[in-house]
Amino acid sequence: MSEITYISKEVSVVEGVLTAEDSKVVVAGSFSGNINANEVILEEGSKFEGEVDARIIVIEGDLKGKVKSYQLKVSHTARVDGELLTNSIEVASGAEIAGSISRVS
Amino acid sequence: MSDQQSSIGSGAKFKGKITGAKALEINGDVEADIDIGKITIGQDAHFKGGIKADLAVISGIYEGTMQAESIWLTDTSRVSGEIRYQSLQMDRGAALNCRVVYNWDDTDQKSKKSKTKDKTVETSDEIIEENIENE
Repeated sequence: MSEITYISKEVSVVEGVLTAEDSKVVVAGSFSGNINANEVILEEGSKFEGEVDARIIVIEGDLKGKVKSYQLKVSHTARVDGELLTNSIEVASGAEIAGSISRVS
Repeated sequence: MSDQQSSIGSGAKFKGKITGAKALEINGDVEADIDIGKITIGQDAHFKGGIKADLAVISGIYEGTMQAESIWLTDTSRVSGEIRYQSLQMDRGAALNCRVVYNWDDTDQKSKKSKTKDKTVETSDEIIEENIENE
């Protein structure tokens, strides 16, 4: 049985609160709300609005809101609007970021 | 990975509204209202809320009102609340502490009847055709 939580392309989640502290969350559809997990991947084509808090975060889709992670990767397909809190960031050429980037204190 | 079905993993907790899903597998702790094609509630899962589905397979704990064309309660299922069904399968060991309603749908019954009529007409036509050929 897989520990992974997957929100597929056709799915939309409203007012969602998802907590999966030891496991991985992958969003391919649309999600509005909060995610708290070990690893979060927002796939290309996904839409996220809200707050993500995870050890590792990969953003490949659209994100509006607040991100807090130890390690953050923003891919070339990403479009980010908001506040990024991270200790380690990797941004690919082509990524669109608007907002602030700061260290996790 | 894009064709993978949606799932809430074991150890995960979810609360919210889920729409547009064709199939969903739940192994975690979920509080939600869902309108879906197929839902599977795993052995260690706990689901609270309303479900509207074509098919629901319950192996875990369910609390709420469920309406499904087809419901399968496996031997580890624990259900409270209300279930409305067209077709129900229950395995030995399934624990129900709920209202169980057979969802009689008149329009559905009528359409089934008219379909059977059509079939009879077809067969008689075939018989006639066969007879003509025989002659």
